[in-house]
Parts: sequence; structure tokens; C-alpha cells
Amino acid sequence: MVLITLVSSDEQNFPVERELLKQSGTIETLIVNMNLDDEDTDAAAMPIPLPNVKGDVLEKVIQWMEHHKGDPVKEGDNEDNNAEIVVPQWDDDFFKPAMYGSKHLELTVAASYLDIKNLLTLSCKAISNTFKGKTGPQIREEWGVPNEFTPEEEEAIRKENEWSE
Amino acid sequence: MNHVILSFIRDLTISRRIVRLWSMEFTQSMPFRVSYWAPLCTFALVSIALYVRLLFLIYKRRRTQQYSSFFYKMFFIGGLFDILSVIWYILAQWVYVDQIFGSSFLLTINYDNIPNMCYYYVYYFLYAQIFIILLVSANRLVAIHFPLSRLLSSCDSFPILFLFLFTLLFPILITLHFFWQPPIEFRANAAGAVGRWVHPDTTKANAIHAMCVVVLSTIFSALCYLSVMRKLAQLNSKNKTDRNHSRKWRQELSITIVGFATFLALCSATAYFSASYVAVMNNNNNSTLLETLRSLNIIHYFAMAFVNPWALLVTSATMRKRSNNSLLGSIVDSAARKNASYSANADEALVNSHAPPSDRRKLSRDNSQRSHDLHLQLPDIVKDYISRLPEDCAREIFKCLNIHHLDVLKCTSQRLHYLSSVFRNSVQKANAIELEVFKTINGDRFVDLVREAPFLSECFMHESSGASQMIEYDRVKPYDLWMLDYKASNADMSLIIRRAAFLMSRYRCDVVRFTSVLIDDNFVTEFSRVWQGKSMKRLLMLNLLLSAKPTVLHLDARAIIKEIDEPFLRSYAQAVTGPQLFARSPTKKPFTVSESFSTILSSFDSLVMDRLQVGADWIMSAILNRLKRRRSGSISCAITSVIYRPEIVDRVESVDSDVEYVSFEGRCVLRLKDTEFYADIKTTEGKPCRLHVNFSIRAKENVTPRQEAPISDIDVSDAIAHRCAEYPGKDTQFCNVHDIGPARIGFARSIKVDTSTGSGSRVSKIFLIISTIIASLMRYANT
Repeated sequence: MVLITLVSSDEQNFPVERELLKQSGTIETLIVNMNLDDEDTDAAAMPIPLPNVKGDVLEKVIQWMEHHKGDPVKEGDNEDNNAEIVVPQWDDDFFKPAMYGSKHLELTVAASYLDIKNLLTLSCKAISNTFKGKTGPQIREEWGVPNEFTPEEEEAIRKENEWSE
Repeated sequence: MNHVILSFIRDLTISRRIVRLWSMEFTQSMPFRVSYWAPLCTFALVSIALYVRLLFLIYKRRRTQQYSSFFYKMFFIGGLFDILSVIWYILAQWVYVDQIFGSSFLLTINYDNIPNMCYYYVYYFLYAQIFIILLVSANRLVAIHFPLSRLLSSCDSFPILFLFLFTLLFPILITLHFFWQPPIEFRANAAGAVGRWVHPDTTKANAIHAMCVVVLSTIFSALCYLSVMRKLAQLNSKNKTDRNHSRKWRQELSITIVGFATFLALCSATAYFSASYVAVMNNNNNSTLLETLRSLNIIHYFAMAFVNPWALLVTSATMRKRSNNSLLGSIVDSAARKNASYSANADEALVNSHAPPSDRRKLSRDNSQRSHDLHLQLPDIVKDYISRLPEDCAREIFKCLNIHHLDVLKCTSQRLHYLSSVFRNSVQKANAIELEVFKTINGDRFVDLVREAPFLSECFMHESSGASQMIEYDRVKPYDLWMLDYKASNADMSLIIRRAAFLMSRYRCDVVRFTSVLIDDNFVTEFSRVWQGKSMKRLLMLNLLLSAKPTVLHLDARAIIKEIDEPFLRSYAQAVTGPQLFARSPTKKPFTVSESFSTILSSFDSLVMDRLQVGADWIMSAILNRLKRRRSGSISCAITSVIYRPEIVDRVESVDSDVEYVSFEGRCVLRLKDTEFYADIKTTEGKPCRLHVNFSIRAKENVTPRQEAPISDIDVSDAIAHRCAEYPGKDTQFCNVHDIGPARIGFARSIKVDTSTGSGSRVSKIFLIISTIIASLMRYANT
């Protein structure tokens, strides 16, 4: 079993199975470019730095990849927008503790940076589910978004929305 | 400490004596006033460092919405003027008051307007600062009263260079009279003391002028700020919760306070110049009052120069935070935080914590209440992570939402509002069957959107309990006819077009139909503009580029009064999947298009026109281009009336000169398969007049047409062609046309068929027109 070491922005090392990293487009490209797949190359001696991902977030990402080991990797970006995405129960439980906090969003950003499409899709779906059926003030309260609109602006947006109803 | 204070007072007293120089009272050269300048220079240095820091921060963020506003542009320009004026003031004071280079030095620079510059710079910088204050006052008035006005956005869009040049020139314009005043000189008196000499009339005139300018400016500024305060008080009482939550409101309040502080500095200048005016008018040039006033002029000078950075630092938590790297910023920040009893860490911990939403809400309410109590100590450190998501992540999230969710989301924050507008096309669109502009119902015209009823699935399940009901249900269109509440006839056309475009951005329509639309310049302009999303971005913040094109765009122009312009047709053709141009004209005037339309017409899958002028090379090139580009595509041409204008007849070799026009009713489908074109002709009547024609555009030496087609067909078509060629002008009747089958008529260029009699006249016309088209095609292909 080939192990490849990932180094987070806070200098934490994470030895990860080569097979798991196929889910990440960014790391896969790095591995290919660094010839880490070659038998002659000592992969363990060449850690991959990930300066944009913190240690705790990277740990969560690896945890997610371990669970989804063997899942088909999504390719391309032309899938139908209207296709309904269902978040599996395990992923729902995985995202829930960090929901409404910075951790979940950091996980999403990390998924985007590491190009893990399945994680990004599910994470975004989980975030989008928190918006559904809510009013603006409810979303603001849950996500800690301050109201930046003046009453005049709110009125203008309200009128804008009336076009559709 | 007492010693320092006493020393400062002594030097200030000396200063009072020195200022008598202004009125030609000479003194002996003084030692440099260390205790006078030390605190002033220290304050000036700290303030300038702070000012530079703030200007740098503003410059770095000049592309952001907040710092590209008019206020910050003027703040930046004012900063440059303030820093320059203070440096100039101190140096000038050192040179001709403290005479650090000696009195003889002053006499050596007594030329080239240097004395004038040492006198007039005060007025120049004063008027520049007043000009900035006036502009900022007016801007605050508009920003608070009309936050969404076009005037405000226009102000924000002024280029900073333009504002800078205007600020540079304005003081010169209102001080033009200085150029005609007696020159200022450095003179030595009998005792050998050197000082600045100003003509008494100059002093008087400038005092009056300055007093008028500052008083008028103060009155204008005061009126503006009174109005602003009144509005702020109204907002305060109207909606306290929103006020406290609104970051935008806090920003507006902060910069309004900064503007007001500058106004107070202007008031101090007004007081100074008013008192000077009174003293000068009473011929008290050398009076104690004037001396005292002149010794204090540094106060209003420094106030005007440094009120901006300090006021901004005190009122804006964001600025404090951003200037936190500097020692001064840290000091001010910590002091402000202490005063406000507000802990930034507490709020950060609040958001970072994994507390249940209910607890967070409670804490959020407490903080809101606390910030309400703090009045001007307005913290701006709530960690709004969702609004700071990178755009690509936001786009992924929006993909999982539909347009209605987006409407809710854009009400939450400025950032999400912006992202909602940018990624509107990424979200899931609701399906719609047809959009029709206009739907005529009982004589009234409406914009109609036929869409699937949202309750369709439930309704279907309910109805599907019985087989008979299910069949009944299928017969009834399960759509919800959505009708707009205003009549098109009473509405502004641009509004209707915007409405249509708005709906197209929200719904994935199978068909977009424009029926009975008067296509004039207004329509073309409005629709083209809306289609490109330029006006909508501003008015409705929508991006109207369609992510999913409708399959058919059906333009039924029953009242074409002008030529459709090129950009409109191009965007039309490019925006739909299967574009059809369906243009009908009720008038005798044919649908005319210019030659440059050939490429555009080739973009359409279907050209349906009742009267179209054809025959020129460009229409052929359009069709050929289309076919060549889409090798397997087809063009459907239903041309019911084709007019050959005399001037283009000679281009069509197959038409004799005595044929003025031909017309037919039917449908011509030209197809390209491999290297061969097929002309498939169908009449409106269907069966009896069905004719298939195929031909080759290969070079003749490479073609063996007889081997490609069935011999029987070739024989028949050859026979017809030769027969027609041998007997031009003779009556020809075609019977049982559908039995003829494919006919090769590529060489039949000189066929003339009399169309006056016989049951086959219609077919003859078709034959003639097709032969004409094919001949032109072949000629084009050969060339």
C-alpha cells in the first residue's frame, strides 16, 4: 500500500493511501507531475504541501475520502442543473455538526481547492438545503449574516421580486 | 511638565509679537521656538502618518464598492491637499516667521513670486478644503436622502483624476483677483528686521473675500447636515433593529460623522475669518484682538487639515481594524474598544462556536442590543462566513437552488445579492411550455407564460386513482395559464420587453413566441439591450443570457414597418436552439433585408417569409454557408411570394427577361448530405404536388451522376429537362407529379415554362423556382 504524505498549512502531516487521493483532481495532478507513481520514486520522502488547507479541515477531507473510497469520481462540469442531488445519510451526519459554522464552509472551500467534485457537490447541496424554505431574516440569523440593507434597498429588492409573482 | 507648559506659553506670546510682522511691524530675528513647534510638529507628524496610512488603505481597496464611493475619493484627494498644506504651512512659518535661515535669506528670495506664494497658499488650500467639504456635504445629503438615486451612483462613478483636477482648479478660479493685487514683499525696516509686507487694501479685500466664501460655504454645509440629521433621526425612530444590523447604514453614518466633523472645522475657520473681517473693517490691523486671532489661526488650520483622519479613525471600526498594524491604530483601537466595552473576540467566538442556533440567536440579539446602546461605537466584526465564500463555491451552491430560493437569498446580504445576480443563470430554472408576447384575449394583449402547474404531480396522483379519470386528465392540458395583470396596450413597450426577458431568465421555455409585435426601432433597441443584459443589470440586477436556449423562437411580425436591424437578428438567431425567422407582412411592401444579412440569415434553421426579395447572390451564399457549416443540417424555406427585381434579374441566368415575377406556395427544404444537396419540395396542398430533386455540386470531371442515381429517375428527369429545353415557351403540363420521383435538373438552366394554363401550373412554378435556385447554387459552387 503506497502512502503519500499531505502537509497542511499548519505543518501537520497526513499519510494517505494513494488510492484515496484519486478523488482529488488537484492532488492527482501533483502526483502525476511529481512522478510519485513511479516505482523508483520514494513517495513517502516527498510530501505534498497544501498551503491553503488547515490541518483540521484536511483531516475531515481525508475522513470523507476514506468513507467514499471506491466511489466513481465525477468528471466534467456539464451535468444537468435540474438534476436533483440527494445527500446520503452518512454525509448528512458528517456535515451536520459543522453546519452554520466556518468549518463547513472551510470544508467546502477545501473541496473546491482540492477539486473533489463529489465532496463539493454534497457539501454545497447540504448548504443549499439550509436555505430552502427559509425567509431572509431566518437565513441571516442562522448564518450570522448582518443586515446590510437600508430600508430603501430592501424595498427595492422586494419590488424586484414582485416581478415574478 | 510645568516648565514645558510655561515655555510653550512664552513662545506663543513671542508668536503673537511676531505676527505683527504681517502688518509691517518688524521685530528682530527670533530664536527658533522649540517648545512651540515641538508639540505641534509631533502632532502633525503623527497625524500625517495616520493620514498616509489611511490613504494607503483606501488606495489599496479603491476597487471595492465601499472605497470607490465619492466620499472616499474626495477623502483621498482632500488628504493629499491637507498633508501638502500642513507641510507648506510649517515650512513657511519656519522660513519667514522664525527665520531659521536668517533675515537676510528672506531678502534674497524676494523675487519670482515667492513672497506671494508664502501669502496666498493659505487661501489656496483653504478654498480647496472648502470645496471638498461642500462636495462631501452635498454627497451626504444625496446619500442619506436618496440612497438609490442615479445621481448618487453617477457621483460614485466620477473618475478620481477628474475630481482631483477640478479640486486643483477650483481655488484658482475663485482667487483670480489675487493676480491683480499689489505684490507681497519681504522688506527690512530701519532697525534691520525683515518681515512680510502686505498692502492694507489687499489685507482688507482678502479678509472680505475669505469671510464671504467661508460663511456661504458654512451655511450651505449646515443646511445639508441639518437635513441629513433630520433624516437619520427619522430612520432611527422608524426601524431601530434594522438600523443596528445594517452594516451599510453604519458605514453611511460613519462617513456622515466624518463629514460633519469637517464641517465643524469649517465653522472654526468661519469664526476666525469673521472675527478677522470685523477687526480689519474697524481698522484694527494692529489691535490686540487681531494679534490674538492671528496667533490662533494655526488651530483652524490644523483642524481643517487633520479632522478627517481622526474622525474617520474614531467612527469607523473597519478603518481602526485595518490600520491596526500601525502602533497608532492599535492605540486608538484599544481605546475605542475600551470605551465601547465591546469585545471583538466574544463575537468571533460566538460565530466560531458550535452552539445551537437558538443560543447563537440569543447572543446575537444581546449583541445587537449592546451595539444599539453604544450609539457611535459601532462594531463591525461579525464573522459573516457565508457572504465571504469564493465565487466558485457560491456558484456550486446556487446550482442546487432554484430561482425562488435565489430571490430569498439575495435579500440577506449585499454579497449574496451580488452573487445571486451574477449566477442567476446557474440556478435551476423552472420549466415552462411557452412564453407569448402578446396573447390576445378579448381584444386585450397580454404577456403570457404557459407553465407547468406546481401542483401537477399531486393533482395527477389524485386523478390517477381511476383509469377513466386519468384519460380525461390527459386530454385537459395540465398547465396553468399564467396571465399578467396589465394590458400590453397600456404598458410601456420597454417594460413589456423587459418583462419578457425577465421571464426568459427565470424559465426554461420550450417556445418563445412573439405575436403581433410591432417591430420598430424601439422594439429592436429595447430587446437587443435587454437581451444583452446591460440595462437589466442595473435595473433588476439580472443577467439575461440564457443558459438553456429555447428550442424555437417564433417571430411573427405582422406589422413590419422598418427593416429589422442586423444586431437584433444576430442575437436572435444565436440565442435560440432552432431559430426560425417567421416574418409576415400584411402590406404590399416585401420583407427586405440588406445584403449584410446573408450571414445572419444563414444562422436560422427556418426562414418563413411571405414576401422576400431573393435572387441575389447573397441569399444563395447565405443558404450555402448554412449548409456547409452544418453538414447534416437543413434549411426550411417557405416563400410564398418571390420577387425578382429587374435589376437583379440578369444575375439569375435561368430566368428569362420577360419574367417579371413568379410566386408559389409551398415549402422548400434544402439539405446537405455528404457532398450533395437535396431540394425537397412540398406544397401546402400535400400529396398531388410532391417533387423531390437532388443534384450534385461536385466538379463535373469527378462526378458520375448516372451511376449514383437510379436509372429510371435519371431518365425521367433528363427527359423532362431536355423536353423543356427543346420547346421553350410551350405549354407544359405535369400530371401525377408524385410519380416522377427524384429528377436531375442540374443542367436545365434555360427552362421556360408557361405557367398560365394547365393543372400542372403550380408544379411548373415550383419547378421553375427550384431550377433557378439550383442553377444559382451550382454557379456559386463553381465559382
